[in-house]
Amino acid sequence: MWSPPQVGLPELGTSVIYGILLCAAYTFAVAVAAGRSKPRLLQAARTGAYATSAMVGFAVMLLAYAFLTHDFRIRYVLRYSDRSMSTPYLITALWGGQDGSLLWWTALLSGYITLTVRWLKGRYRDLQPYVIATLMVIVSFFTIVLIFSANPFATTIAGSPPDGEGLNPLLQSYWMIIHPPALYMGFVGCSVPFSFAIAALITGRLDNEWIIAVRKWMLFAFLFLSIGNWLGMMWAYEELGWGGYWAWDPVENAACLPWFTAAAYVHSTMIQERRNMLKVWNIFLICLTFFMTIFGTFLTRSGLITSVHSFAQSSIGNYFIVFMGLIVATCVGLIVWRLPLLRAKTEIEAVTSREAMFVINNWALLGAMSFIAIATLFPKISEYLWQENATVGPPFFNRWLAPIGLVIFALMGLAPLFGWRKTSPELLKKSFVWPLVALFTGGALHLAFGRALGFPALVENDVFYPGAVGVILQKVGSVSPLLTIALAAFNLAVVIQEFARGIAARQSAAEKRGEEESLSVALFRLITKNRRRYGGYIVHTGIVCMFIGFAGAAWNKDKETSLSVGQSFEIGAYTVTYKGARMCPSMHPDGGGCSLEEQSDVSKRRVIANLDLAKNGKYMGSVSPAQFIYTRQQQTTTEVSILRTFWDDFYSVVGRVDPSTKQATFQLHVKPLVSWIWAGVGVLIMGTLLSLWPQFSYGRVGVWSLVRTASGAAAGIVFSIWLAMSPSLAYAKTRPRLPESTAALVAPRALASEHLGISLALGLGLVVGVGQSLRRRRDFGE
Amino acid sequence: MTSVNEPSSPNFEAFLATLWVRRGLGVLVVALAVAAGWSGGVAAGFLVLAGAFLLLTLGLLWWSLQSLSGKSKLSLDEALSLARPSAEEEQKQSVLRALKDLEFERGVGKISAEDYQELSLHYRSEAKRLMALLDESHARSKSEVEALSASLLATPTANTASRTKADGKAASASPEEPS
Repeated sequence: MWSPPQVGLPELGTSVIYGILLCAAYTFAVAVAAGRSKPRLLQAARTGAYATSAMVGFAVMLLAYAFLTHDFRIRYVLRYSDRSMSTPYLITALWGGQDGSLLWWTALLSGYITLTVRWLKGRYRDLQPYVIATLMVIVSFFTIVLIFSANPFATTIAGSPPDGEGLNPLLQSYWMIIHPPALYMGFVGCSVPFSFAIAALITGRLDNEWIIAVRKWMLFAFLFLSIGNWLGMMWAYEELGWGGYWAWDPVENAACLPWFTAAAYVHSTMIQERRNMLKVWNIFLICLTFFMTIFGTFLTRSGLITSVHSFAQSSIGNYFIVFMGLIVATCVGLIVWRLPLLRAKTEIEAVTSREAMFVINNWALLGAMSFIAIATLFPKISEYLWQENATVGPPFFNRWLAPIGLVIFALMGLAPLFGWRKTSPELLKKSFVWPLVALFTGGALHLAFGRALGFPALVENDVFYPGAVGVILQKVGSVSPLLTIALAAFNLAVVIQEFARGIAARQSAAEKRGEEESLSVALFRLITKNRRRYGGYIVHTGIVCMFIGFAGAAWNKDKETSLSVGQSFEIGAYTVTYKGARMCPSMHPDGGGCSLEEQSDVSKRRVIANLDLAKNGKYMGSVSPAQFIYTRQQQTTTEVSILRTFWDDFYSVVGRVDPSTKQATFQLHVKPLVSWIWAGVGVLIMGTLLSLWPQFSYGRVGVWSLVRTASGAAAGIVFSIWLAMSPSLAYAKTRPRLPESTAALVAPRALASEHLGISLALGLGLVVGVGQSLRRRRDFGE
Repeated sequence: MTSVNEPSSPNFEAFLATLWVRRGLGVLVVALAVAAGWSGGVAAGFLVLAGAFLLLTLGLLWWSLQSLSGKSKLSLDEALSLARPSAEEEQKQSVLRALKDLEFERGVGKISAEDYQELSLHYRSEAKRLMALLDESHARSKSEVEALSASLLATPTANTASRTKADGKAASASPEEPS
């Protein structure tokens, strides 16, 4: 039997981290020299960047090996794993704690560096050295933090104990396996646009070409920020058990801040490309987005603000404060230095222009971001300035962000209706007719039929503040469902109109050439020839779905009750019947209704309650909320069970269960339109992928390359769809009514982990697809 | 002084740099990791991957230092990548893209005929100006290339060598073809 060598792994790992710093410093120096006067050194810098990335890969592999061999001499392995953990969770433990997640961050950054350096070959010759140098500074920063404050290879003082402490049960979730890497991919991805911005500022090559390269990288980061936030929402919804998907927790807020600035940038960059304006603004947005990723990490890790993510706090805040200071000083200094080159030669000519709408939209997005950032930090600000403890809770965010969100939603629909520079009254009239018809029709239908369908247009709201502001916020909150539905109709009409106009233009042009283009062919060609534009409209459609889902919160129904076996309870249109509870593993000879897996898993005890659900008298299925008691950690987690339908989610949580009488307490929620949010994010992801998709022709690329690229993309799309579908498999198994004794209920984690391999494979397909796409673009200069 | 690799004199580094060799090595490492994982557990697979990353790091650092000291030759690909597009070239691309967008806007009726005329004229004149600038800046390089080609063609040895090479290529391409 092969036995793993156990010599000097902690020392080797620590040496490798020092090696990364040395390698990054060497590459930085060579890159700067290449940029200043010796272009011949660029090759050495490029290879140095690859070597730095490979060394980070080496460190990650060593840490993974330490986890898999249960090397409990290493403190990080001891704290975040134990011998009972399965291989997937042992690998998840790599980013389960502070030290490992920072190494993981560096590893993802290395992946980006490899992709960027490869993609840069033969391009942006002037910018390349400084892009590499900036990326090396970021790697060096994280390596310094690893060396001096969060070394994942540090050893324990007391030697190697027989077993580890185990991963926090809350993190032993399918969503937690994929949520942090996806979010980090988004966060880390913002480093590449930032490096380009710094390089452009240093070299003075501030034309519009570099910004086109940056736009693609920013879209890529935006894609993963969206996926990461979505998965985080899923995790909060299904794992934390409080009945919602977004609690305005500081860490959640930190994760969404760069999303707003990235979204603002992908719009404002169009103005620079088209009108050669807003150069300072675009550079500022890129720098701000990167700053927000570091600020978000600082909030998550420093423990500055109390958060549900308390499993990843330490004293590394000072390093981040210094780095944030360095970012601000560098960006401000360079922008001021290059101000003469950045000044716009043109200006906005009319308010009725697309650029004016984009600018207003940018301000609204930035306003939302600033509001969230300040409100998140307010408890600390209040403590510092007035020595007062202040709490800013979800009601505050919900009240204030409803009007801000509606303004952004309205602007999203308005901008595409305007042309560049100025729009004549005739064209405006032509553009606005159908969307306005949709707006008023949608609103009127909602007012007329909403209440009968269980979605009233106007809801009751209490006054949150005394005075005029409180009354205004209350009124806006009351009409927000109506406004959301009406604006959703408006936005959808705009998107449909844009597609219809595009198709009509194509068909008319084909007719002039004496050809004929069918509707489907015209639609296909319209999208493939203008992927960025129509991908953007698909993203807007996804956001429409998400807003409808958010509006659903106005019609939530939440109740708490205690039920005896056989007793029924009504909530909204649902009738819930409590069928009994079981504890697994069971001592009963026939297994006590526990499945084989529930019986064999001795790491935790499960208390599972069974509820049958009927909606308007019709049987819908059953849910099985549970409590897991982790024997090792002595920690109890609530395992929610959700029945999902198109119109609403039935969300159940079990509290205390009396072992003798089986009487149980439940928290029951009916949450309308939640599925629309998940579906909306899926649409948003597909739209972003379409925008990122390269433009190439069969003749130039060749069949094999086309197949490779298409298969990668197909895998990515299947991955998105699978992610959207998997929760329903895992948590809301609607099944035929079975006798109580034979009911083999679904074990959520088991099912989720069964699908893990598939999802990882498909995820890999997505990465390969994007990589191939980037390669194709490079090869054909697109 | 830097030199460019001759395609006809491959060395070990150039061999390693070829796409198929790199892919082959990648596949080999993955196969070894899978085999080790299969026989010795997942940990063994990761150990093989760690070893591969270490070798890769050392190899890349070696290459980087060779480039730094000027010992390694510049590949043709790298040499070509040193050519930088001028600011005018980049501006031209930008203007051409703007023109394409303008045509689309006109097609979908987002811009009035007057605005289209005005903007189109502006972008076209800008594109012309940039193209003229580019032609002017390329003129000197063009004449240098022409002079170099002419001198090479005029040299009898180069002429003979190139003819012999071409004849050899033709012979190997169609050995059965009657001369």
